Amino acid sequence: MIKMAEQKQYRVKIDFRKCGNCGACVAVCPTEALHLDQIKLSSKDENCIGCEFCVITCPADALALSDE
Amino acid sequence: MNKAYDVIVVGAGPAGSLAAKHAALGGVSTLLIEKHPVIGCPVCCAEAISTTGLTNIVEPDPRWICSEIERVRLHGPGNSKAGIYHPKAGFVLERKIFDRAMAEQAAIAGADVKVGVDALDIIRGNNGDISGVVADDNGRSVEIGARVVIAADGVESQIACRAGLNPVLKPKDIHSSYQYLIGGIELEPRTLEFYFGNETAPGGYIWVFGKGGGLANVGLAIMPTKSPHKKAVEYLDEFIARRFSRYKIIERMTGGVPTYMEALPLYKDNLLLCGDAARVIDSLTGAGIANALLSGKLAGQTAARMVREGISGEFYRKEFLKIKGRELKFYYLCRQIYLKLSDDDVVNILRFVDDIFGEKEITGINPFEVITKIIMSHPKLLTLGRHLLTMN
Ligand SMILES: Cc1cc2nc3c(=O)[nH]c(=O)nc-3n(C[C@H](O)[C@H](O)[C@H](O)COP(=O)(O)OP(=O)(O)OC[C@H]3O[C@@H](n4cnc5c(N)ncnc54)[C@H](O)[C@@H]3O)c2cc1C
Repeated sequence: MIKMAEQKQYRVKIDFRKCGNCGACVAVCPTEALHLDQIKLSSKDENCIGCEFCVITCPADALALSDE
Repeated sequence: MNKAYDVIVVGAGPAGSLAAKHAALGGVSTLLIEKHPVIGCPVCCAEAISTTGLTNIVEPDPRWICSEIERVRLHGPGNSKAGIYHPKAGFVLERKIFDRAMAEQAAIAGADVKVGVDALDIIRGNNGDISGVVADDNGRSVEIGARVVIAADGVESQIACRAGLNPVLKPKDIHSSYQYLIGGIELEPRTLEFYFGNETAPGGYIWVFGKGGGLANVGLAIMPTKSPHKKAVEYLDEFIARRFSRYKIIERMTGGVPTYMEALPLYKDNLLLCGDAARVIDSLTGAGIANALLSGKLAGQTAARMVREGISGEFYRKEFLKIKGRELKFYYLCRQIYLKLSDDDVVNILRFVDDIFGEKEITGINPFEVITKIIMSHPKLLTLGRHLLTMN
């Protein structure tokens, strides 16, 4: 995918003290920017489009997006 | 390429283990892979299942049954309540043991079981069919060949995405859940408690499922779009402080409960989906264990016949929907109605349920009939139902 110059680069911030590794965020991510391996959740920030579906869905308040 | 199998099953939850067991019983070489090193851990579940949901598929075993269920207590806003007394209604399981026991049954039936193996992608052969999976096998990248792949990889369902299906849920199609295992409490034995109301658990409910010995699963599911800022965990903490004066938190877990997705095919080419990965959830209650067991069993049986007789995955889709299709659609509609209820509606419904059941002992319940009765006798629900049906 070609990124437009004005498109923001988001970063998914995961608070691992709160994250329960349940995959609810993975299930709602439209761009496969989140992956749950056997140990923990990880993000592929270049895929993130900033929709915040994961942030809204997380039961544990463990996710936030930043766009610096 | 590692040793190839006839059937690879991804994910050793209830769906995957039943699939592997029945594929192996069907006489084909089968591999069950699970990304976690321990089967049944972690498991995000309140662990309740109806008697028929379990016993139609698996013989109950005291090793993994914590408690029998004979009573359900429903609590609504303003102290409204209703009770249903139904001996032999169901069970609260110990899924840590249950899930492993199901994987053991798969192994006894002849399937190979490998833990610490995370399926990352599917491999396609020259004819476009799926010919295996790429996996991280305890830190080593491997390719494992297969003639049929069964995706039983739960709510996060990545294999279906890799195969070009779209299981991605909108936040309005998932319930956001949080649960504690708590100890040191006293509860009415063999009873499930439910708490409803837009303040208590917007778009969802709270459950207290006793496990015996002063233990209980206490959790909730909310509709995230109804409460984008206040999180599931906050509602649960508030509730527990109100409901129990003394308790100890032993474990915590988070979870996502998908709704049924009629548009998601149950198979594509030689890939079959089952359990949460296929989104075959009862959308009203969020119950998914029974459908995981059934869909897993049918997927496994079909996979064996695909290998041996060359039948299509369509057989699985038809068989499963013949049994569950109507129910899945009905509960999905009920969920849509449920999401529109006001607290007053909930109070009225509980009163109605109490009138039907009171404390009388019943020997069986047909949820379909009861819910239809509730809808038919509440003009608002009926109008909502009709409206939703015409929109679909
Ligand atoms: C909080 C909560 C409470 C619930 N309570 C109930 C209840 O009381 N009663 C009920 O009937 N249902 C309940 N459910 C739903 C129920 O837990 C699920 O429907 C059920 O677990 C689905 O079984 P499954 O086998 O499809 O998936 P899972 O049990 O999720 O198993 C999937 C398995 O696949 C593995 N996996 C995933 N990806 C890969 C990969 N790439 N490679 C290898 N392995 C992989 C996972 O590690 C996991 O072990 C609840 C759900 C939640 C979240």
